[in-house]
Amino acid sequence: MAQLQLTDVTKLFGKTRVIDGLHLTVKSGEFVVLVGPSGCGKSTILRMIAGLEDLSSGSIKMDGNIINNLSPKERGVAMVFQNYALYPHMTVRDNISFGLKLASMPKDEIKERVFDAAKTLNLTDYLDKKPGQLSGGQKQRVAMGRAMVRRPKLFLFDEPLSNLDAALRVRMRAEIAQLHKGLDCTTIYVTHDQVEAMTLADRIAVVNGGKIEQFGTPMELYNAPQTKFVASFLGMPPMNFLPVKMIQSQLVPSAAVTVGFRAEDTQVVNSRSSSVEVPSNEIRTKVRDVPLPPGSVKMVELLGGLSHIHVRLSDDQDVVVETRSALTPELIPRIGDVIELTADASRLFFFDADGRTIFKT
Amino acid sequence: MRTRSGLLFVYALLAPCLLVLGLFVLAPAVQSFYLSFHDVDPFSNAIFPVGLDHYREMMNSEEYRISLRSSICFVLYTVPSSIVISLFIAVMLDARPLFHGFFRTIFLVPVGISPAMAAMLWVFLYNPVAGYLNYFLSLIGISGPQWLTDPAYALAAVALSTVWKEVGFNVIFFLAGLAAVPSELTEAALIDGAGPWKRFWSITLPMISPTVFFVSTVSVIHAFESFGQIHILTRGGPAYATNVLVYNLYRDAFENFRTGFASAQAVILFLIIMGVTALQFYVAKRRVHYR
Amino acid sequence: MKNSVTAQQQRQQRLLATLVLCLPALAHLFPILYMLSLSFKSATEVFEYPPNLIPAAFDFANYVTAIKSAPLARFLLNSLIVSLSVTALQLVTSILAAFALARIEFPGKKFFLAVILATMMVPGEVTILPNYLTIARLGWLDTYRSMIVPSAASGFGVFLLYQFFRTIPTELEEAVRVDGGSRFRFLWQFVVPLSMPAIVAFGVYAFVATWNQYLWPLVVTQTTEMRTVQIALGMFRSENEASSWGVIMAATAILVAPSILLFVATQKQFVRGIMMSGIKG
Repeated sequence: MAQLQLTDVTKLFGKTRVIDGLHLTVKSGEFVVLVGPSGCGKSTILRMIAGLEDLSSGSIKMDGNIINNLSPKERGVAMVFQNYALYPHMTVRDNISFGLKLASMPKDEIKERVFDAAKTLNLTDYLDKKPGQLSGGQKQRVAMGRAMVRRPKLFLFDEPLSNLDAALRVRMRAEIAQLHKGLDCTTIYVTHDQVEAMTLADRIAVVNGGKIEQFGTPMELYNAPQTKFVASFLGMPPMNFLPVKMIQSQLVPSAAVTVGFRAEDTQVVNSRSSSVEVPSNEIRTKVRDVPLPPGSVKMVELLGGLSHIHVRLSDDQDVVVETRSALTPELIPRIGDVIELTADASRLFFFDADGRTIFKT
Repeated sequence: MRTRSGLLFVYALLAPCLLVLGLFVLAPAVQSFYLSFHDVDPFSNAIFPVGLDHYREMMNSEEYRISLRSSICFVLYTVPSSIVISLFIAVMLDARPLFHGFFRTIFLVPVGISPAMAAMLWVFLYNPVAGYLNYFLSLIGISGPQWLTDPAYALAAVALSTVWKEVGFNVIFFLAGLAAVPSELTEAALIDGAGPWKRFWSITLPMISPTVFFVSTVSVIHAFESFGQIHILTRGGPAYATNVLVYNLYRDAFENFRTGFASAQAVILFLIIMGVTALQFYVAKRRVHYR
Repeated sequence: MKNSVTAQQQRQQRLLATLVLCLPALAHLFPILYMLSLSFKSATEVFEYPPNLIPAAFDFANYVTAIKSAPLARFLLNSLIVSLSVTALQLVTSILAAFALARIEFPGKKFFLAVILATMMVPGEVTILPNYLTIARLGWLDTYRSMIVPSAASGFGVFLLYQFFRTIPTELEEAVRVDGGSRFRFLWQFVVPLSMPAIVAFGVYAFVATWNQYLWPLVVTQTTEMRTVQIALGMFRSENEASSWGVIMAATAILVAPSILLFVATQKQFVRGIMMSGIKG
């Protein structure tokens, strides 16, 4: 358990500023997720915390002590790598215990710790196998076991689930969440997957272009994004944006302001050619809904419990509408149908030309 | 690795290797070049500059000209024949004959044997009286020559034992080349009705031509560097017939103690081998897209 | 239908290839068989005409004479000492240098790599005379050192292992560092075991290449006791011409046998080593 503080951290690769004056404070026992598109610098931040990468300037403090110049070993961190980085020529047991042996821990204690970790991670039957004989999920568990047994002050995950298939990813996500609850260890987790970020994090830091765009709890980021980037990055499907501003509850075209609204805050009020209204499972007060320009259906994605309707509006903007009920065949809009949409006025976000949220409308 | 201790670590890793290579490969290579413009007194080790004298002498020396000719003849005797034979054997092995592994081992065994050992195995085969070579020739009505003592045949005799040893080396590369030919190609040709001969000439050979070229250049270099088999079989004789470039260099360096002259020969040998290597790099670069 | 025709054709081809290969194989094996045949023949039997490949009796007298007349064991031991030392040294120096070049960023790296690769272009015949002068000046003539030290490093070995070491994922190295291992531990506990196929193949190659060296040992050894197997062969050829061919061939058989056995035992690694040496040219 450790508290971590990054102050004005900058990293240069040659002349490129990969990380630019970054500040971040992680509370003891907290699970923080660094999320962002590939190349945004999130992995570099993690590697600097791990001690695998030098800082160009700034400082990293752990429990108040500067650790910039300590080796990874001296920092007491453990890390789970994207490709697991299991030692291919060692058994699972040796993989897990390698770090402990290097720390010259007594044999009995190593044995005990490996046994405990193997039990927690369901690896007891695989301890004498080599990584090559394991499935993806098992390799992932070994990588976590290797990190766990060292009882690190800080747990680091570098996109640990990106090599797993969808189903396994969901399961391992749950296992990581449980593991964190059990260990209660300060954790920093890097991913580009916003679902992982939303489900795992105590707090999320959205990283873009070497800077943290916003740092807060998942719901803070979801409900009050401070930038257009954060708004667009969190949420599935991504937020809709229209270059309009609102004057007296009406949307009028604007070059300076962008309005954002989520698919789930949008509804179909009239579908002309099929002459049926797509039902919405949320009844809204019409007063608070803002009409959008009419549009025609481009594509319909049926996801079972909900559907996404892609609509091209009359001013050539594309938006996605989510309906939260299963559509019966006769209710499915056909491609080319002209439909009218409204968006929930209380759930509109306004951004200025720089992509910053305008709080007063 | 910007820290001082990091750099020290790197240099500690590199030092043994660089030291040995520097002292026993790079420095002597430069020294050879330097000595080729000088004369060294074999008794006092005093060094006198002589300019291009050694190179001039080489150009005018009948002995060196014969030596160069012997080397080129040796290349012509060994390279084409070993390529044809080994290509034939590799194609047959590639057809997966019965006892494949057994055949393969037989053809590859000489690869582990040095040219000098190979020569030793052949010495008595060349014996004009009781040797098997002339015995076989007599069976088809040919009266065999005095292989090692007749200047007209000695180089061919040396070449024969060299080819015997070299074939296995080439087979290794041809087998790899043949294995890399996509079987769909030959199968497609088979369905098109091409016979085995046609398939070999129009599909297999063009596909492995980079390997053939590569093996050829390596064989040429090997041939130019030949020494052990000549030292065993003929010692450069009879009548300079097998006095190839390396042998001539050896004699001038260690029998005649003409250090400067031998160094000039070493420089020329270096240039010849560099030339062949450069040709190989050049052609290999141009053909990359081919595969 | 088409398939069965192809299969039948293939079977015919295999049989044909088998038959066609018999004669070349016999011819190829002949010098070795002939050596063995002669090694059992008496001085007079050798010159019988027409020659008979099968000796009258499998008499080991020639072998006994050969062993008595020359220190064959000493020659083999000399070759073994020199080849093993050179192989071990080349492996160590190449592994260390290749590791630095492949896994560590440092200023001047490209230069050092270029220098080491350049040494591969220099044929041994070019360096032999200056090296001889150096060895003579050091007073190392006729010692094991003279045959071992100049070959203690190999540009080819560095190049080969450099290529191999680069394929080991960076994440593995980082995992070791996070686990608390030093770079050096990463080298000997991870890079070396994971590169074993390349290291073994190069080791076999280096051993055979050293074992088969001719010109250099010929130049730097003087006394009979220091001769390697290769040079000893030449001595038999020149000195014992008058003596029985059977004895010479028995000695040759003893001296050649280790090469053949080594090849048969390490054929796979050996062929891999030769293949890799191909890049060297």
